[in-house]
Amino acid sequence: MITRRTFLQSALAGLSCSVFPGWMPRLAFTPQNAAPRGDVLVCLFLRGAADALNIVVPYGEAEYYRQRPTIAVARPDDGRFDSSLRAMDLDGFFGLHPALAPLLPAWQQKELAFVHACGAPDESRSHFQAMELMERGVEAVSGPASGWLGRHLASLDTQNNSPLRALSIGERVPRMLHGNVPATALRSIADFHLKGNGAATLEMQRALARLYADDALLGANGRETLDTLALIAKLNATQYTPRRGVQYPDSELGMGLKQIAALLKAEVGLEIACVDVGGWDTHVAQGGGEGAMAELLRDVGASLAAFYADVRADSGKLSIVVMSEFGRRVQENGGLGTDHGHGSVMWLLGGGMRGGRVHGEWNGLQPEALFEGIDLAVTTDYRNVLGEILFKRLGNPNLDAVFPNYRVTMRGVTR
Amino acid sequence: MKRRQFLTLSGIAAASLALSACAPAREIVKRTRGGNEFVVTPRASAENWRVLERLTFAPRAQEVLRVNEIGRDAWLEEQLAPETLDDWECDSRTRGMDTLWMDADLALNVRTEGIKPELQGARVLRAVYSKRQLYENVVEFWSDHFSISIDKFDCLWLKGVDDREVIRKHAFGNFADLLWASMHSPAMLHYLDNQDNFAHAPNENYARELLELHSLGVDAGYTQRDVRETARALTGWTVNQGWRRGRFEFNAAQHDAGAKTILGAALAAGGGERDGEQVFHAILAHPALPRFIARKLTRRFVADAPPPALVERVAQTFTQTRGDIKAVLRAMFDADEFRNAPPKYKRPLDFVAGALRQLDAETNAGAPIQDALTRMGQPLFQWTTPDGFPDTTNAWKNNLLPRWQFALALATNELQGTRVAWENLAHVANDASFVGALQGFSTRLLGFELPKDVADELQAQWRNLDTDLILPSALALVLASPQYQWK
Repeated sequence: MITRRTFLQSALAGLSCSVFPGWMPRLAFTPQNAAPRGDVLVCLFLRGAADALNIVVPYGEAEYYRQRPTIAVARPDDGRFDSSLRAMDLDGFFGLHPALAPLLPAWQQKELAFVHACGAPDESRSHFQAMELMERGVEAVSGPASGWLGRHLASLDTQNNSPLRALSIGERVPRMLHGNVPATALRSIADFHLKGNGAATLEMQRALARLYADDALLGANGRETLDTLALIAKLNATQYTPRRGVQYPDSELGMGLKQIAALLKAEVGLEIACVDVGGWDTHVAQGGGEGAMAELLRDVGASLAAFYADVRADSGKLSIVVMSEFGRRVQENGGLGTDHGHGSVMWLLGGGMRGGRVHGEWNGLQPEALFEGIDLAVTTDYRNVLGEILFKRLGNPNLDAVFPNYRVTMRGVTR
Repeated sequence: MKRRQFLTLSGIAAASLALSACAPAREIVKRTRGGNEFVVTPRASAENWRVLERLTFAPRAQEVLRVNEIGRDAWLEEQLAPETLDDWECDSRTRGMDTLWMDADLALNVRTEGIKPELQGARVLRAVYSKRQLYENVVEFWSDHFSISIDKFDCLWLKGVDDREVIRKHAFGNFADLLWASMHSPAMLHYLDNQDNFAHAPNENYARELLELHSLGVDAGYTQRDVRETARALTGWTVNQGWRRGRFEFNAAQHDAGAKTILGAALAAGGGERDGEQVFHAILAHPALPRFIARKLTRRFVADAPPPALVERVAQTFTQTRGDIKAVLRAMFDADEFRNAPPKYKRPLDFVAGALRQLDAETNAGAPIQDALTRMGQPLFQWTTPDGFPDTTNAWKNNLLPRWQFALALATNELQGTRVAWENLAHVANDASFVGALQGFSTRLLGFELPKDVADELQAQWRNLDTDLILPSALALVLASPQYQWK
């Protein structure tokens, strides 16, 4: 097995004489006899507490329409609304927000599932505390400081020494990826290089490698960055062409997912990719079938559908999770929006998911069924869903290391 | 005695003495062939260097000289009295930025595109050129504490007034005045949706963040009911849409006139605008406030995980002085925990402004600088959520490449609108050899030389490709080094 250091050296040596003809060098990162790895996990985090009830709409509940006179998404059979504004029926009780229409085929192919009334035990209704605890995968502030994905990477030896084993799209690595295995933040493959003529930048990289070599605090991050530079120098990423007919939205999310698709197909050793999507704190003018939140969902739906179509040939080796820190109040507020709530919804996409169904226990929206009488109660702990995916799809048996002091119960959300 | 003469004399006196990081301050003046004199990397004691690194956006030679001249405590007092520091040079750079002085009505009327580059540009220019370095650092702290994103709704047009009348006006004042001003800030009320907080249907957004982020902290023991009641008390605190457009107004028609209970205090029905004042007083009287502010300040200025004993002492000063910000800062900076503080990872603005300062660069703080900050993760005034840019190492350290890219671009003068004057800097590079330059720039930027074995290995492996690239490469390497990412 080659070490990180020798990999770096060989990669840098390759850089100086790189005559790779184009896209997809298919770099070999694992020795021939290594066990096959599990799914690649792509995790979208909707920052700001996305409104679960307007994403997977309980249109079978009269209470939903009573509590949301102006922002409810219309029933699939409500003739007063244009069909493009009505929920799309999923199972006779729940409906999907119409802006997510591009994802409906995946539902029909039973590769898209939802877990409703899902979430964390934290009761603070604070974005910042809820995100921190959820990303750390803990119940109390006193738990381990690393993230659940960071501990997953540390507890599962996939004999993968790629610098892009874990990646986040953007300017920072989210808390869930923090841990002993360094992860890289990357906005754009095309921009991931040092400017200047090849020989001069190679000298710079060699010098930086020496400067970071034995740095106790930043050494790992420096080496990770250098390895990634060397790796990406071998890709001709600007020439990446998605599968025929696939059109990514020209949005931050669309572009981010396209970068992930490019790296996936180049087989650079990517195991975990995180993407943040902001803007979900819809206290005002949230809208229903159309409006501010519908536009956010339209972007997520179109971007995810494009990504999924692009990498679909590998969908059996791909798990996509969409989650948020908590859900929103059942009753709409004075600004035609919703305040912070409790229970949320998780979206699961991939060939390995038990799709075509809304998982989770549903207790209804009557006040006595709600958390503190006002918010959707949590009936499935998010760790049961993530734990099952890590165990069954990513092949990590060490769930005690990922979620310490929590016993994961499989809910049958995967095949 | 003029500064120049002083430098020359002390330089001569010091020239024959060996330098060491813990020796008393000394200055050297080097005479170039043209007969011009330059201050060459004056050194400070380790303690003074630490103070300077932590309380400025990286020390310039002038600041090193000043702290050496008058001592740490006097320098700190000087920085705590910014009005005594003549800042004409910095002021002259921002004077032409008309939108900085606009009131909200005018800004909402003209909606000029220039408002964003001027707001962001002024932030960088003040960080780089102001002599009131501690003040600018504390302004930065409160800008995060009362964070407002200019990307939401009309906040871009309103944030300038908030920056001027709330943050900058009260940064060194009393916390109560600062909080009171923020509670009346149209930009803040707009950002956190309080204009949509109605009697019949409260909107909790501002009320929750007022308690959680601005004053008490999530673990203060308040409940969802307190949030709800606070929101009710603040119904009607909104932004005028009429002839006083963009200013604070209390709209009685929007206000919930019923009785309320907030943090244990009973508010009788019919309190009107005074309900909000009761909220303000309940917050000021709450035992969680001093500790929350002390914890945040010490996290910024001392350590990611501030020592609890220090937090406690700083909180006591907050309580004793009823929120006197200068007294609180003094208590923190006088503490042993501050003197012995572990390194703190530079946030992008620390890194960018610091590099520009230490190289005496000329910059207009235009698009290339703002773009670099964005890539590093700190697009100024554009942090989306109300908690402000993060303050701990883990939030920043996985994104080194944009810093390396900036280091290279700055050293090779490829940032449009920004220039490093190499003609004034070349002398820092000792004998202009690669290793000489490396050590010269290290001394200037880090306050110490790189370990000799590292420098020797770098020299040994360095293939000299182009003589013109020796000095810029050495400079870029120091800027990109792991050591330079800390302060």
